Amino acid sequence: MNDLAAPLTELIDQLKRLPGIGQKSAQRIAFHLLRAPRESVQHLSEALLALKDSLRFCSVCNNITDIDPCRFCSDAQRNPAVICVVEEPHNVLSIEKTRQFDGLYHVLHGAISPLQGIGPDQIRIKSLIERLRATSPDGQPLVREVILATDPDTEGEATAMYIARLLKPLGVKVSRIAMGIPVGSEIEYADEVTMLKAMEGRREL
Amino acid sequence: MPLREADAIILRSYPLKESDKIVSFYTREYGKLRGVCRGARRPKSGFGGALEPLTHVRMQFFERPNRDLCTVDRCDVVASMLETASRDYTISVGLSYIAEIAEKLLPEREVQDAVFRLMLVVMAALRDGAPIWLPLLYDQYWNVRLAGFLPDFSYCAACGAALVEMAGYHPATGEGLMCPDCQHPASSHLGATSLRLAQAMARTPLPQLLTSAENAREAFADLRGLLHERLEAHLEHPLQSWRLLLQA
Repeated sequence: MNDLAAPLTELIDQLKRLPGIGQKSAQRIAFHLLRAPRESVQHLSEALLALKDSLRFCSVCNNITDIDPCRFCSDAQRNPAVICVVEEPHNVLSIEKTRQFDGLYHVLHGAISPLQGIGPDQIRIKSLIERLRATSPDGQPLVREVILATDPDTEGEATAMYIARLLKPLGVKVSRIAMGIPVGSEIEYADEVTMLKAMEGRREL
Repeated sequence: MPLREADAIILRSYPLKESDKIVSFYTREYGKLRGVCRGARRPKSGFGGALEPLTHVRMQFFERPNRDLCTVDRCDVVASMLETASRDYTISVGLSYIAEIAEKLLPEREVQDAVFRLMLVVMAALRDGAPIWLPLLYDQYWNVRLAGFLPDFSYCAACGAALVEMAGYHPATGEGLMCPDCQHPASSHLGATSLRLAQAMARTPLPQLLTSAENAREAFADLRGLLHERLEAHLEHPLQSWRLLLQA
């Protein structure tokens, strides 16, 4: 690395710290930026700084946003009676891509993971309970259903069960997203666990 | 670079790069190993739910010379614990504790068939619907015993008198159990029922114990605590899931 100019070495070192970027990729990106017009490099650096300066967590749903409350929480067209609980902000994008869900979100920023010592206090469950306790002026609960869309693995299941146990006394309908065979794959290749979940989650036609 | 095939229990998995996983697993034939499962995080991955903790699988993997990680080629589920873990939050945390004990206690590449059989017995009991507490205690007891640091539950470590009604132990000193006459002033205590269970566990299979001993959170909490302290003292660092198990 000492053969390269100091600013280039510094940039490569910084790029290497990003996830999924190794020495070769960092070098390729650095040389691409070196050859790019000054304006496009400036736009990139401004975008990076804007990311840190203007983004924060929504005070209602904990999603990442540049306005507070976020565009989902402040959208009057969305149904406030249904809340979909997800582990990470990027999970919101996956659900939004379906264009079928018009409720609100709640982002936990993680999942309960006993093996990593992450318990319910380390993720944002308390703020979910506070949202569910909110009532309309006539005393009716604002939220009627909570959809638990955590990952279909041990940690996601543990988180879903913990939340379901907390929500039971509140009288809110709690549902879990379906699990099973991915669209486009073949039953022949499904493993036993996935097939079992698919059979459990079957629906009447 | 031979292709190996083994009966294995998945202990833990970590994300790697965009779509891969590193998985720690305990094989009957080769001991504890770690391997890379390429594409395991993709929705259409052939691994599916086979890499969840405590899944019993039939596994095919390659080992390369001078490499710590093997490459896992295929995992066929023999028995999964995901459905059992989905029954209840407490069971889910208890299963994590069982997996963590195995992951941290077992040395790499050391074959111990007794540990493998122990895990299968405990998991079978839980799949059959038993509450978590007694199988978990059985797992703790036999892990401590097989690792070689189980105290004597029958006789006082100081005077050799038979332990009957109560025994004391001092977590910091690591000495054995003592009768009321010999124990240290700041000792923790193990009640008579826990003493009897500990003595019984040495000679009674788990299915039989489940029909005769109480299987509740409150029962044998003192014995559970003692065995946990022994495990942590041996490992020299805390077991992360214990705190969550106490709160569950």
